[in-house]
Amino acid sequence: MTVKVEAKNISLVYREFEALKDINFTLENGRIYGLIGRNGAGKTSLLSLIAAYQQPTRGKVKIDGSIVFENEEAMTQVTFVHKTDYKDEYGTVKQFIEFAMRYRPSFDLQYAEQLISLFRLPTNKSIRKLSTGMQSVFNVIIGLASRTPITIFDEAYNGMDAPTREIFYREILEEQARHPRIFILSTHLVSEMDYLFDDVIIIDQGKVVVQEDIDSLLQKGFSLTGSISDVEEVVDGLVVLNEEQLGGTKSVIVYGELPEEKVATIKQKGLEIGNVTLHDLFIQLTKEVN
Amino acid sequence: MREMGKKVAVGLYLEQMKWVLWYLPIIYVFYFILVRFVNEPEIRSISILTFTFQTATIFMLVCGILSSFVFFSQYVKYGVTRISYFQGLFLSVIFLAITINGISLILAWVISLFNLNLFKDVTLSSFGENSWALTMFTYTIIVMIYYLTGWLVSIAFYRFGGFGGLISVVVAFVIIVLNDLLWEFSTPKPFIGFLQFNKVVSQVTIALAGSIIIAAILTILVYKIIKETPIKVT
Repeated sequence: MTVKVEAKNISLVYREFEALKDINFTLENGRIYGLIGRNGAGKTSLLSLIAAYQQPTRGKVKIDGSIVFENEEAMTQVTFVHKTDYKDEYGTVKQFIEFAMRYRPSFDLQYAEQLISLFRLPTNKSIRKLSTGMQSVFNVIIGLASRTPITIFDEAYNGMDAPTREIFYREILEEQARHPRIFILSTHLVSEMDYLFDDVIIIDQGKVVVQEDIDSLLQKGFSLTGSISDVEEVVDGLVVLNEEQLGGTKSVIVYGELPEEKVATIKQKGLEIGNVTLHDLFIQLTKEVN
Repeated sequence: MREMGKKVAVGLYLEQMKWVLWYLPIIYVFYFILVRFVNEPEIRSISILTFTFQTATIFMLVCGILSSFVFFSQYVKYGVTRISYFQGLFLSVIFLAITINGISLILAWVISLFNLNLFKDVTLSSFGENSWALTMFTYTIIVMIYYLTGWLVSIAFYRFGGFGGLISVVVAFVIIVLNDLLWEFSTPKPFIGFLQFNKVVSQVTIALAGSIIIAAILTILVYKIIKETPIKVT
């Protein structure tokens, strides 16, 4: 099964607020995408377009070449798990599972039952009576067991404790090995989840800042530490995301390809090169510039 | 009609029948108590079908209002298109209206078989004693109109929020008044008397045609609103 999601020049405008600005990307089957961005960056808006919750103001979202909005075939391929208000929901977990089985042709009941016991989710309680963490567990079970070719988790860990989140992350990886699909994980917990990602999409103020596989992205970012004058000489002409100074020592985070001559200079001056994490890159690439 | 539309129709019908199974027994008990203990000629002449119909208008209006908040986003979240949902809910409304009136019609018929003294003054409807088919058909159309009106209001509130929703309330109000004007036996509204409207239409066929047109207009309005309604991420 090959599934491809394409976003072509999509913009989304709410009255006068432009939530998404001319976004383009392609998502390929069998990969786990980390969608990261600050609060209000447009992550949920973007995901809601893929799930056909709404139409873009401009541009197209396609699944396997077909526009997704109001397309039955495309819509049955997407599960969008997000924080849901269940305060008026009297139905039980069991009833929702039956509903999912009815409308999700790919739903795997046996797997759902395994997950229910793994997460220790009570099935006869009405969903409104479950704790926030358990409601999130329920959402995650629906998302995983639906086994749709495109599965989106938008901060799905809301209220989950650390061990539960670990089980959730492990299940994503195991599921991806068993039934490869497109997973999109939208998150704030970058440092906790970065090992799950094959690719990273960083979105800031409605624009895609980065879309790259995680290894290439991390290779592009590095830190340099040394004397102030040496560091300043080396980084001249490079993209510096952050700089810190302590006494006569300066440390900078640099982003981008490093020219050969710069590599030689760094060696010659004996500057210390360090790795940066996705978390660092995320903070620096999306920080406010005044 | 899409296959998914039919599937949704069955699901929504069964879901709403849970509400009907609460509503109908309560109404029937209430009817028997009224007929037994209230010695008003107007009450004693009303059939169980007509009595149920008059309350069913409000019941269906409430169901219509609830529909967009209880079902709509849930179905779309599980991959059902808005059009399939629309088809499914519309079909389920037809069956719901037939079921409510059908069960009441059968009860009215069973009661008439026993020739009980308590029900000796009962008339089936204002169409006359043996107007079973006409009464059933008319009541079904009218309760559907009430459901569609509730649906219109709720989907307008869901999509447009406060102001658009309020406009839909005005539209719904006008539609209900128009429909009531067509049928003198419908739930009487005090303002009609207040505004001193005369009975506009007496011919059943014209009134029926009017109601069918109203139902069609409501259906088109709901369709126009629902087909591009964004789902709230909550």
